[in-house]
Amino acid sequence: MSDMLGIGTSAVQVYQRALATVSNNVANMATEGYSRQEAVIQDNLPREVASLFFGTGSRVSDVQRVYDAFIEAGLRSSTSDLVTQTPLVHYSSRVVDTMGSQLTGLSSALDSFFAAARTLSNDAASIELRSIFLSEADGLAARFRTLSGQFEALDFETQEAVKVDVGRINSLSAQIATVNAELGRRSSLAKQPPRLLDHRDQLLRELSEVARIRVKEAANGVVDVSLGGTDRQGQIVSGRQAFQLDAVFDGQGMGVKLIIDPVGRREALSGLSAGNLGGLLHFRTQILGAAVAELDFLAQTVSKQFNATHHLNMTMSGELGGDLFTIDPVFELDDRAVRGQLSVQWDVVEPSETAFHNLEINFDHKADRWLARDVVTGLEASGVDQIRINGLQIRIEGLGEQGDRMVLDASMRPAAGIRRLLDEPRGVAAAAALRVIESPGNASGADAMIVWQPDARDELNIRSISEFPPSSAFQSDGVSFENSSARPASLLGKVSAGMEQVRLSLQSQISEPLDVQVFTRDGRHLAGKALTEAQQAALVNPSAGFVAGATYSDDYLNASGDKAYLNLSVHYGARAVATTYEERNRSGELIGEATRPAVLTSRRLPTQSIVAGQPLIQAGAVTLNGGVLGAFSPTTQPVQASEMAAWLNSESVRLGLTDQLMIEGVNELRVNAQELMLDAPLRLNGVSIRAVADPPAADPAALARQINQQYTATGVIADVGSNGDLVLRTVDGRDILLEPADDDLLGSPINALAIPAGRFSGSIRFTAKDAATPIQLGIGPQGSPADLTRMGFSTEVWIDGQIPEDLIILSTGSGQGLLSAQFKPGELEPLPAIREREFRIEFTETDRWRLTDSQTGTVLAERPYDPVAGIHYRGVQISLSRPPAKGDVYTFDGNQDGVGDNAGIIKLANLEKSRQFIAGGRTIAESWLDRLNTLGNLSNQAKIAQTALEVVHQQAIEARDRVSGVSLDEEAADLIRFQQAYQASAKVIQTANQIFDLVANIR
Amino acid sequence: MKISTGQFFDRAVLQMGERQGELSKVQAQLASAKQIVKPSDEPDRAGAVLRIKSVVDRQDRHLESLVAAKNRLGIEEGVLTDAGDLLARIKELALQAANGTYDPGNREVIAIEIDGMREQLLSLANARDTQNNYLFAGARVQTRPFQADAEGTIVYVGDQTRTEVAVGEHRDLNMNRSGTDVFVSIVRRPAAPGEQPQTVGFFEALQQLSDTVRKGGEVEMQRGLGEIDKMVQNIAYAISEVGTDRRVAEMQTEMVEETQLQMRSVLSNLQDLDYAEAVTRMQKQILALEAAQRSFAQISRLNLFEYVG
Repeated sequence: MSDMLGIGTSAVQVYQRALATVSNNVANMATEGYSRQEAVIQDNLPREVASLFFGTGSRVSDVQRVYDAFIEAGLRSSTSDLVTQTPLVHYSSRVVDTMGSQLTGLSSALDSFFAAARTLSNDAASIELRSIFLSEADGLAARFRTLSGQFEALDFETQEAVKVDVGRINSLSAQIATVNAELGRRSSLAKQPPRLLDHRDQLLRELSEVARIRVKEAANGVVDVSLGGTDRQGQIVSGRQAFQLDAVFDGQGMGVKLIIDPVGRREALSGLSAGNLGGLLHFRTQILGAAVAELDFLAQTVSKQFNATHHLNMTMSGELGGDLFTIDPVFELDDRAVRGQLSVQWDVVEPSETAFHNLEINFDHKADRWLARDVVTGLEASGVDQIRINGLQIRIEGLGEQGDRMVLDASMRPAAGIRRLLDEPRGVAAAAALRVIESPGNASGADAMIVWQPDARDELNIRSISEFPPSSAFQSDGVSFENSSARPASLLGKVSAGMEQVRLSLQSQISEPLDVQVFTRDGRHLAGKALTEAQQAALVNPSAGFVAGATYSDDYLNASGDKAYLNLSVHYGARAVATTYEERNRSGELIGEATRPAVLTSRRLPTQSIVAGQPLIQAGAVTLNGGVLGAFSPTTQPVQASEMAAWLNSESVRLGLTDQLMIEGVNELRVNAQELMLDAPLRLNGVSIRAVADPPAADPAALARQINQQYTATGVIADVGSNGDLVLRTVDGRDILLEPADDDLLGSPINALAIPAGRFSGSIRFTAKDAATPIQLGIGPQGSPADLTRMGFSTEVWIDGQIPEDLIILSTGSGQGLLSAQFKPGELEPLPAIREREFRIEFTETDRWRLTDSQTGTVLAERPYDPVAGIHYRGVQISLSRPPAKGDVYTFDGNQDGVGDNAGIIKLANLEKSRQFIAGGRTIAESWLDRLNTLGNLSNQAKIAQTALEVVHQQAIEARDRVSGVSLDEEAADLIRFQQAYQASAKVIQTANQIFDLVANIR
Repeated sequence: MKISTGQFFDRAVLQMGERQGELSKVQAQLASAKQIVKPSDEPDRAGAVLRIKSVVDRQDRHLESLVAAKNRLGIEEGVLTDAGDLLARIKELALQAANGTYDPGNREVIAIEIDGMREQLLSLANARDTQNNYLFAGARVQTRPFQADAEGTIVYVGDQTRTEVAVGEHRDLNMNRSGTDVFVSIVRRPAAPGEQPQTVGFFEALQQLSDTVRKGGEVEMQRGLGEIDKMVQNIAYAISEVGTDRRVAEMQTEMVEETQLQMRSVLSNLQDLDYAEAVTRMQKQILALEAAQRSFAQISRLNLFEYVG
């Protein structure tokens, strides 16, 4: 209406509503998240009268929410950024406080430990100081565990905080979805109730405190919220649907996996960059993870390095030190699949058996027992309420039910599992493990220093006899080799230190003179044939495994007894010793032990022919039990065992060995009774036993009788053995020439023995007459293994006693050979091997020294002396303060009674300053402090960021407030304005009324 | 630029809270007398404090070792001085006996006295310290160093190991002397050319001396006197060596104490509170807090509603 009354009335209404809006603003001044509302007053459509337009008053077109989406988004973003720093600052302070505390940090425990070591060095033999040292070691291990426990508590706390935040996100996103459902009812933003929009924005702001969100607003105000980098990534609200967020904790580390919609699309979120949750995750991985890693690393390093140094020192009982620390596996019990109430406890009872393997424990309700199984090795153990497995004692209290299953998850957390292992004060290894003593009469007066410093020169990198192909623990088949003029010697392998009862066996041809040679690395020739000077020069050098400077000596060649090398007994040739066996009676019971005297039997003699004018075996080529045999010149061709046995027997008489040995030629042929062809012909040694036309023999015994009838001509006796075999023997070992009869068909064995025709040579057999005598065929100075081959024997190297050091095996000569080996395995560690003996160094010249074993007098080495390099023997390094004089003597040994020595504990104490075992050349304490600094810097950065972001946040709040906040002054001004307008409009109505009255009163 | 009423209050409260927080931090510092109340306040300073503390601790250990060394050297010096006196007396007696005017009876008396002093020297050589470890046995501290062998000759069965202790960052001090370093064996030149020089143990030589005094023998007597001289000289060397070691230990003690002092003052600079600075800071913060509170009280009253209606 264009009349005054109408306009006035509408104006009054308008200003009434405007005043209501203003008072609403004032009432909601302190409401959280409230956006100021404005009444938007618009003029009504004008009325057209002729060509004039008359206004029709005004109306409230809208109550508008004063709001800027851009500023709102900015506020959310700066809130997220600011809140990120809160957990970082709070928790990283706690980490830094834990790490950097003077009383309870790691630095003070390390200081105390090293202090105790230094104090012990003042009086290394004091039991009291040793006890103090051990208790400080315990303190150090306990400190690691305590710190580990504190970090675990932080791990747990932050896990809970993460769960709380994830819960908040889920509840907020559910609420936003509900709001979206409401908003979805209207199609445009302008029509939405302001309160609903305020509520929505409030929820979004709260959500942005937990995590940084991306908000996509639709035209009607419905929002889609996502946590990822784009709108589609990590969507947690989409219209009226909200998706759950789930946090999964990595078993071993600090990582947290976030999964959106775990029952549906299972989207994994790569990480949250901001918000409280983002801050927590960042803290866990970057700060707590780093602190835990450093602590674990140092615990492991401490245990490993301190143990390693301790192992090279000597205890008060004269032995090498054991482990000072040990790391137990840390187990976590997963008993979710257990129905009843159980109490499970476990302890480490045998540290050397522990393993970092998960253990599965199942209840076997039929046997009413618990069964534990190591999932990696498959080892099982069971018990009713106690199980012992992998060095653990597990106690289970409570009733088990069918199907109950538990898992003990093993984790490698060195800082949580480190423990002092040594608890005996005498076991603290404070002394050096080696000692060198200058003889008081030394003319040079030089001081000697000794250290254990093995290096590459102490390793012999050639194949051991245990690796001869194919190998088993006790025997190998051997390596074949060939020497020629181009290659006069072969390096075949090594005998490893620690082996016992070593036997090397060489097979070679008659015509080829091949020798096996065994040496120590210092050139002491132990077995074989003495080298010529030319061979010495060619062979004794580092390329064949000898140490630099080694000199040749054949003082101990093939020696035993007094002249032996240390306590080894070496024989080169063929040998047999008495054997012991268990005697049992008829029912199999053990009566006792008996010894069988030695028996040495050769193979069938090889086919060999005589050369006119030359003996088959030279005089002096072979020795028998120490006696040198003369020449053997057989007269019959081919050479027969009978003739060889006769020669040996006459030599035995000459050498006076008849009391020790019995020597015979033997030849035996055995045929299974079933295989005999009793109707076939037979001819032995040229004499016909059965002709083709003869009637078949009735049985093997009959055939034997037929053979025996011709004994005088053939020299062959036949017999039927206990298992029915037919056995043919010659008395003196002569050959058996087996033939069929005159008219034979080619190829098939048609003699009665059913064996292909041929000449069977005999063997030589030595039998000792008593159990104490061994049988030893040696190689004389004129002989070679080829001579033993002529007698049917392979040449062997026998070494009795435990091998004290690696030995080199070479072969010299020419020809093809096969070397095999037998041994009893054994281990000998280098340092303990040296410590067992006392060694004596004597300077035979000012530039030459000789090393002798004090106990046996064996000369172990003789080498030139280099003042710069000092003396290096099997890992022992000795240096002299002055040039030595001729006749100077230095002895070194394992320091077994040097209990007052403190060199060992000083080495341990100096680990404090060692930069050898941590990357970057840091000491242990420095590594810890560096990490503390790094994390402290991160903490500082978080604090600085927090301060800076506070400012940004404040500005964002102010910007929003400027737009949407309620200012009382502003509202008061608006109140006055609308009040006046209201009064004026009321006045208009009054005026209109007056005019009407005026008009109405026109009479 | 408009500021909403709510925002005005919020901001004022926030800032007052911050001022109070700073004040309480200063108060904690003043109460604890430490610059760093918690390591997280200043992590790199905390790290430096730990580092310096380790060094200071180590100096304490060095001082401990020096005390142990000085004790030991004191004991050794006492023993060696006594030994020197005994040897001087033996030399007097030997000179008397060398004087040809004595008859066998007198010489017997002298020989007996020499034997007696030799026994005393033996027990000095086998002296033990407060822990019951032998002083002059090298590292074989639980074995008596000078013992009689199968034939009754006194031989040295200790070893030559030298024990050292750390008395400075790069300084070690020798703690012991072996028996043969002090009771030095005598080397006799060979009687005939082509023979090896003979080494005779200290106590064996004294035994031979007393035998010579008993039996007579011009050549042996002269030889014996010469050897006594050498023994006296060797003990004197040993005493002077011990004396030198003691002086070295003293000097080193001073040095270590000075190092310790320096380190302690560095430590104090790092961790102790500068009271003047802290109190000044506190005054400043109190002022700021009061100003904030007062200004808030004034400004918060300003409101248009006060003046309207």
